Amino acid sequence: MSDTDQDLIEAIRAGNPRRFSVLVDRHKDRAMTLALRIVGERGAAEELVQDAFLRAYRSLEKFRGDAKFSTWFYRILYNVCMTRVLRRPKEKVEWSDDDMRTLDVADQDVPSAQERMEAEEMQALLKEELARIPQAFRSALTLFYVQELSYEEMASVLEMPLGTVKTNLSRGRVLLRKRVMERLNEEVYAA
Amino acid sequence: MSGAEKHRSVEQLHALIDRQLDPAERALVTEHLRGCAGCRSRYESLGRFDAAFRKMPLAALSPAFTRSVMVTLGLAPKVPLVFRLVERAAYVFGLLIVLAFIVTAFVLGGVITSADLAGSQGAARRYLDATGSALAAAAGVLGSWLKDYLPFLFNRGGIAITAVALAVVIMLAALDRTIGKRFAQRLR
Repeated sequence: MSDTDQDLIEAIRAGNPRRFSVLVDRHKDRAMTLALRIVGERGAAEELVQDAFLRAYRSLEKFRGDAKFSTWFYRILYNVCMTRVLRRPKEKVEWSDDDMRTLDVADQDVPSAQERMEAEEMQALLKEELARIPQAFRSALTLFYVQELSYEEMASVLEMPLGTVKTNLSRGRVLLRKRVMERLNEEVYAA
Repeated sequence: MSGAEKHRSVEQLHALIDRQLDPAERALVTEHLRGCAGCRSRYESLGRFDAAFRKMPLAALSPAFTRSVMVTLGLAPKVPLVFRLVERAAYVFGLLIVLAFIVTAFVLGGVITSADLAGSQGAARRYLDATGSALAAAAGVLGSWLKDYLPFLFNRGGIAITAVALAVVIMLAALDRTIGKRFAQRLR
């Protein structure tokens, strides 16, 4: 059976620092996915993931084990990425309650359009539209679906109240879904 | 569904999909879905979208990334001799190919005869002499080429300018490395 993250951390603390490579291997792809979705450029994302791992290793002694290593590490990574993102011009989060209402209307056509689309095309569409939604929603969606964090763990990583996390996640899903559905309908009608 | 009962909110349906509802609430929403075709259809549609989202591929990083992190931390394991030799195999093969070319050229040019290759005395000596002559000839060709195309290199002023230019380039390269490292450390 493979070692848990906690086992690896204990091994590192016990004088076997090379075990850190197993932690890096285990978390690098999910970390890269999160960083890439926040900053949007592969080169910058890779650099930030590396930076986050270096910071995590150097402050491993501060990790008390109250939360999972992944939650603690993603908080470091998220902060590193946000420091980079905050240097850019501020993004306007466009949201209105109409977005929630239009979902019901769009739903009428959804199953048929969604079923007609090949899985690969759907993935490509999701990826494109995900890159276009506001960063706060994108981060919430990625932490939930890719990092598979619970609502509470997300609140800890994002340093936000639980209610805000739930709202961002829900709005993010609705907005993304709405945009994907619009694209799907466009393509269905265009065909 | 009774007319008075409201449709379930998108948040509630998402919470049901995410298994984030407490048992009592879950039972209520599930019961509602049994009797409400509209909410059930919406729930199924949200579920399909959720499944598609979960299948999105990860952005993969190569194993070289892990090694790079470990090298930066000064924790890279020593590579076993066998692997180091394999890593250097490309250089070794390259060197062998160059040697083979030289030997072939000497054989074809008659510098080395079949008797030499069979092991008669003096073959190594002749081979070294021929290599030396070939290198000297190549240096001569390079020298005359430089004289023809870059004549300024062969007077004192030209040499001085070239030396200063080289020194500046080396200094800039060294500065770039130092400054680059310092900036990278500061950013961290």
